[in-house]
Amino acid sequence: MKSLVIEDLHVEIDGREILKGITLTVNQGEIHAIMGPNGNGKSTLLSAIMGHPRYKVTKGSIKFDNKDLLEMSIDERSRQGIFLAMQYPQEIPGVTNSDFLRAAMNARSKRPVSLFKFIKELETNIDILEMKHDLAHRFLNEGFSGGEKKRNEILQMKLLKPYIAMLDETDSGLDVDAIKVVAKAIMDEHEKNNLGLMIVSHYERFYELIKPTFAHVIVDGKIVLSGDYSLVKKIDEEGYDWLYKEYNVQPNTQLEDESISLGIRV
Amino acid sequence: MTRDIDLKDGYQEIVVDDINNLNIKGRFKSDVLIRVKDCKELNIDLEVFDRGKVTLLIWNESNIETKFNENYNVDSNSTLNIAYGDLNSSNFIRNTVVNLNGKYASALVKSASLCKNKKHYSMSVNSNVPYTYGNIENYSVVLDGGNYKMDATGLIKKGAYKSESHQTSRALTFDENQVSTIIPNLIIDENDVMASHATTVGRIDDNHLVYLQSRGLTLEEVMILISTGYLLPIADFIDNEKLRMDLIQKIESMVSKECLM
Ligand SMILES: Nc1ncnc2c1ncn2[C@@H]1O[C@H](COP(=O)(O)OP(=O)(O)OP(=O)(O)O)[C@@H](O)[C@H]1O
Ligand SMILES: [Mg+2]
Repeated sequence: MKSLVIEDLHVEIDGREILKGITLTVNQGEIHAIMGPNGNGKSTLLSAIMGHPRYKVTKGSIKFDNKDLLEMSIDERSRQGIFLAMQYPQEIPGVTNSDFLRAAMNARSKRPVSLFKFIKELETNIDILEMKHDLAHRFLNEGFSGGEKKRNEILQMKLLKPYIAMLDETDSGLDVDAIKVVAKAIMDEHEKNNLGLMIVSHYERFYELIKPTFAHVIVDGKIVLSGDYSLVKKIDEEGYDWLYKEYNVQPNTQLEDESISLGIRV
Repeated sequence: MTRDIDLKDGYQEIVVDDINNLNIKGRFKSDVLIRVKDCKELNIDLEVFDRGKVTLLIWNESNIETKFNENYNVDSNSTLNIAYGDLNSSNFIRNTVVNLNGKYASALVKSASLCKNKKHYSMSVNSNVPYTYGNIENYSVVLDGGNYKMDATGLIKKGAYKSESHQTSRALTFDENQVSTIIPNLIIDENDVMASHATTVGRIDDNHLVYLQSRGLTLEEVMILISTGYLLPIADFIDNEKLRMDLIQKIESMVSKECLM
């Protein structure tokens, strides 16, 4: 079993400290919900774990399978089995989805995946995610609807078979039926391959389908409270005010721009 | 050495090594692959006759500096397609002039270049009479040390009404240590025409890089993927299946070779 171990993580963006000491362990096979008000560091945490060059780690450590992730580039971390389904997936004109997926699969296997096997896996997962088949042959995410982009992130996850997947608001943009389809696809991976999950979402509706066993709330760059599934329910019903009072914390309300994540303005 | 060629109907291959002058006549529907081996100077004169349709793929394999001088004359009701595959790693200067001389003559000139060295183009597609159509599309990936220049002209002469002239030129770069210049010219001396041009020169978007790398692709692998996607459009207009597959495969292998160096 592989573990992702984060200790006292501090992260800066453009000289501003966003994460102020996060300590968290996620073992393969576990499901962790990451909650918290807008703009308080959830996406920053996931991006820093993935290794986005814009996010500067100033203190602390991130280890996976006893290896120092901070020593590795973003692509090396991916090949170690860490995956991030992004809040705002990029559109890449000129590169077809299927060429990209095949290249990404080849990048992590010793021998190139045969065309036959690739197509079979691709088609199977496209069916599981109830995606339109032509999406495979279009340019990567270009002109995809919001929901199609999110499904495409999970398609990548299914093909790349990580040990730990971090899903950043994968449910937002999905319609009610799609949420069920996508949640089932994620849970399949969890059950069959012992996938560990870190899931950022604002909605209990999604967590209900995924059933996290651990829940953490990030406020102003720190985990102020961890608990079990009941914490998700309580936040869904009561919001965060009680928590600010009880734990004497102030959320970061520099309501800059919700759409900033991973250095991407959309 | 000079060679005179009457194009047959269908597919044919011309290998250029010791030839300096090619005089070509196209009367039919011909798909032609011209493979340019080591060659200092190459002059091409091609005439497409009435109702002819000639598609040329000029694939540059030269290892020495080459000077190209190309003149194309396109008669009424005929079509000329030219695709330049310039992915080799030697310098060249290319001068291309296409004259549309008869009504309903049309020409499409496309180039794909992978540039680690000096690649200077000057092309001009001239509408000399009414009802002609000219289109230029250039795609280039400029790598470290590359020096790319594209001087592309669409010209519509006075009296050549109802003609069209279009051009698109794009240069993509991965780092700062290169030169890429695109000079688009539209010279229009007639009112009743359609004309357009689009130009982009730019560095690859960092967010694109990060996204692709986050799926486990190294920087080189990302460059190959993006460059291939960028240069492949020149294959689109080649109907001949063999010629098209050949071109795609050549582009893919050249791009991998250059990006991994
Ligand atoms: N690339 C960036 N450039 C500048 N500031 C950024 C960048 N990414 C994040 N930030 C800032 O860091 C803070 C934390 O943002 P983050 O995206 O981690 O929030 P979040 O908890 O994921 O919020 P949300 O629920 O809205 O997605 C915010 O103030 C945000 O504006
Ligand atoms: Mg976020």
